[in-house]
Amino acid sequence: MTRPSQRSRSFIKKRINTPGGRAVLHFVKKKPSHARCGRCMKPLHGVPRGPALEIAKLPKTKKRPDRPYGGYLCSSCTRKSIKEKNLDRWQNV
Amino acid sequence: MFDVGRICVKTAGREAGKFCVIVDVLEKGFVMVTGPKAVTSVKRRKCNIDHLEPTPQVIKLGKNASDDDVISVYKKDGIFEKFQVKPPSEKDIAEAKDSERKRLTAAREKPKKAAEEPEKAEAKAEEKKHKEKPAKEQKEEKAEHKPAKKEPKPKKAKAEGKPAKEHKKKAESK
Repeated sequence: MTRPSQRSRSFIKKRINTPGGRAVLHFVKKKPSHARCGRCMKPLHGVPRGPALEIAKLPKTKKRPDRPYGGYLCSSCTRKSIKEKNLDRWQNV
Repeated sequence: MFDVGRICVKTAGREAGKFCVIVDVLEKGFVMVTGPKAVTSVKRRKCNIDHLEPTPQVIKLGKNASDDDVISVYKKDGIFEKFQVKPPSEKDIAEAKDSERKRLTAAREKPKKAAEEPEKAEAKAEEKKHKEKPAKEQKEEKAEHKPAKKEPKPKKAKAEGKPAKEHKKKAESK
């Protein structure tokens, strides 16, 4: 029997063959979704995915790329935004 | 477009969004760029043209101008006010120079050590044969100064020792 708390859709049921030869269901928490770019909604590179507790243990440099808007925008979108800002600035002048 | 003296904005990497000046034009598609580091934290480095966004601002600069020259030209042309950047204090400039010097010296020392090692190792081995006790004392003194050099010696000894044994075994088996 499973625990009542495990009878939830937020668990994945994994079928595992035990060393004794039985097939057993394991209840595993689902992974959180990919981090996505705020502008184009593509999944971000260099941002880890997993249980929040384990990601909190990682050093800061392994959580996001070392770049302005790193971990929020993808690299192509940051490039576009910087170019747009640069153009706007000199058009007004 | 990408000539010496053109002020650009970097669009890639950790220095993205910061401005810099082109100091030299290198092979096709590459230029030498500097912030200077004391002003915008862009180091003096080779940079791909694809990672630069040009601005209409151009300053008069000689080829391979030093960071001090660049800062003095910035002051003359009022670049600090146009780009809304604080002019660097003397302390900032000194720190930037210091870090650059450390980086350069570190780069120079590494290949030197590698070149000196085999000669010194041989000299030490000869001393060891002639006089065992004084040689050991000298070795300890040297080890205190540069502990990194102590490691390669035993490895070499092993490397020389192993093949000799193997040869003997082969000879016996034959």
